[in-house]
Amino acid sequence: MELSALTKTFGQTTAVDDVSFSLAPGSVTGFLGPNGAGKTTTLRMIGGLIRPSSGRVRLFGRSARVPAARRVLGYMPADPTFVLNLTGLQNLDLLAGLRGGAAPDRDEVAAALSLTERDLQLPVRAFSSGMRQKLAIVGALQHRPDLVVLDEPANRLDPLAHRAFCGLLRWVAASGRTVLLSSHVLGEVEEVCDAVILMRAGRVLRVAAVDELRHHASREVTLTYEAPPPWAPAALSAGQVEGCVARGRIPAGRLDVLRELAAEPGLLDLTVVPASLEDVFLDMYGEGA
Amino acid sequence: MRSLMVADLRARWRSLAGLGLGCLVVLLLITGTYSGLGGRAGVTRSFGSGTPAKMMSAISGSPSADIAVPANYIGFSFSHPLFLLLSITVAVSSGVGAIAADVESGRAEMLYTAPVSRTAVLGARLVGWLIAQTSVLACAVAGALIGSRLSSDLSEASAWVPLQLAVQFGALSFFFAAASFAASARAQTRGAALGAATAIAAGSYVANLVALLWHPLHVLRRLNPFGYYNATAAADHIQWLDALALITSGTLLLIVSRIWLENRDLT
Repeated sequence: MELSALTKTFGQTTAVDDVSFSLAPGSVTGFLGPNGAGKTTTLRMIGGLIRPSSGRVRLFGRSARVPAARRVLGYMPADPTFVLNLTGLQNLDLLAGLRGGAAPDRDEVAAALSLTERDLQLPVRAFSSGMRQKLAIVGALQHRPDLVVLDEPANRLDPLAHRAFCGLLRWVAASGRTVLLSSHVLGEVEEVCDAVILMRAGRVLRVAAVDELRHHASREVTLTYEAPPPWAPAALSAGQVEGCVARGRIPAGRLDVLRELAAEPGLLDLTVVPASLEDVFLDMYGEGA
Repeated sequence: MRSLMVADLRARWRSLAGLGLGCLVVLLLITGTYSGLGGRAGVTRSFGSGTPAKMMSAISGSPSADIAVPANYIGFSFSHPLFLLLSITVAVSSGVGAIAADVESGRAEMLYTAPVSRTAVLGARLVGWLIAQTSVLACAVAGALIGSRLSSDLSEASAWVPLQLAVQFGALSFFFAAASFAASARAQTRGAALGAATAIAAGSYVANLVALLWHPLHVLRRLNPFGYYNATAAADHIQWLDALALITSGTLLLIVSRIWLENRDLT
């Protein structure tokens, strides 16, 4: 999948501004950004729902506006909606029917998410919100698409279903298919994604491997003293003192700062927590970013 | 697209059954009570002459038809406001539900990301409407036929009359379905599409009635779709030119709907 100079304006507002990136086959890529960053609008342009104001989306070499190009696409919206008085199975049949009728992975995906045959015989009206979310995941994956686009798929999933869902994503990627995952659950992104695309105000801020981002992110340092220090060491950013413990952040790769901290008088212990994707997110979008 | 059509009809079958049953009962009651009113003489007596009779003729879509005549009476039943309300509801609800309701509910994101063209989805919805409208009209024809058998005085009208009327009405309902599809293709919400489609149908009906009752505004008749649906004339024989006018304008509206649908954002 390739996005080239993709732009979308709604009146005076530019929701997506000159976005370009491509996804390699078999990769799982996280699509991150704060609310209003333009993620969903971008995904809708990939799905052919919204016409770009300029630029283009190509799916395996063909424009996403061409219906046949979407044959390879499995799409799950942020707020999936079904025909409420049809059963889960009838809704899945409808989605499969629109994609040619075959649903080779339906049983496997449904079983992985603990959606039983009995559940699927119920009208969707009777489904809990979590079951509807699972149904949408099955709908997006059942026809074995080469490209899977998921917008906030973990919403409303319980921890067990969430774990199963992460396993499904790994299984999809292992079979050589490509996944673009928009999510605010950073632990999930960290667990399953190879790379992330960071968006802000409609623009791509950065595209990088998860490990690379973590490597360059600031990390949390905890210092424990013999007696309460009067203030946090100046080398710590956003430093706070709580009793004998001072906490703060230091930039990545600054061994000199660590040495300086280690030499603090009265220090009993120094702990450095490896940077998580959440740290990266806070660095990128937090106050002062 | 068969799966979409089947799913739509499955989802709507209860409301369609209700509308079909409603049409059957309305037509059965109107035609079935013809003899009870005293046949031709009794109907004339009941509605008198002058303005009330003119009003009833106008409702039947003609300024001068004598609705006491058996065939015209059946025609009157096919333009009775209750029948029109029930049967045009099928056209309006099909059109409005086709696009605007999908966009508003978010279902569009599930449907239109599939590898099918928007035109194909519109086509499937149109065929779905055709099946629904034909079923409801079949109920109306059945009601009229049973009612005619119950009212022996109506037996001098041909058994084909209800069928002719259904065909003639089919053209009118096609126009309203197309207008509703156009409203749906343009609107962001179901409510906006429903409002526009209802305004077109109700406004046309009132304009036609006024044009029939008040000669200075007679020109309004040919400017609105009801002007091309004269039920008492259709009871005599199908008015093919009127039907053609409705089908042509309906087709133009569908072309406009397609253009709007292809070029809009489905969010």
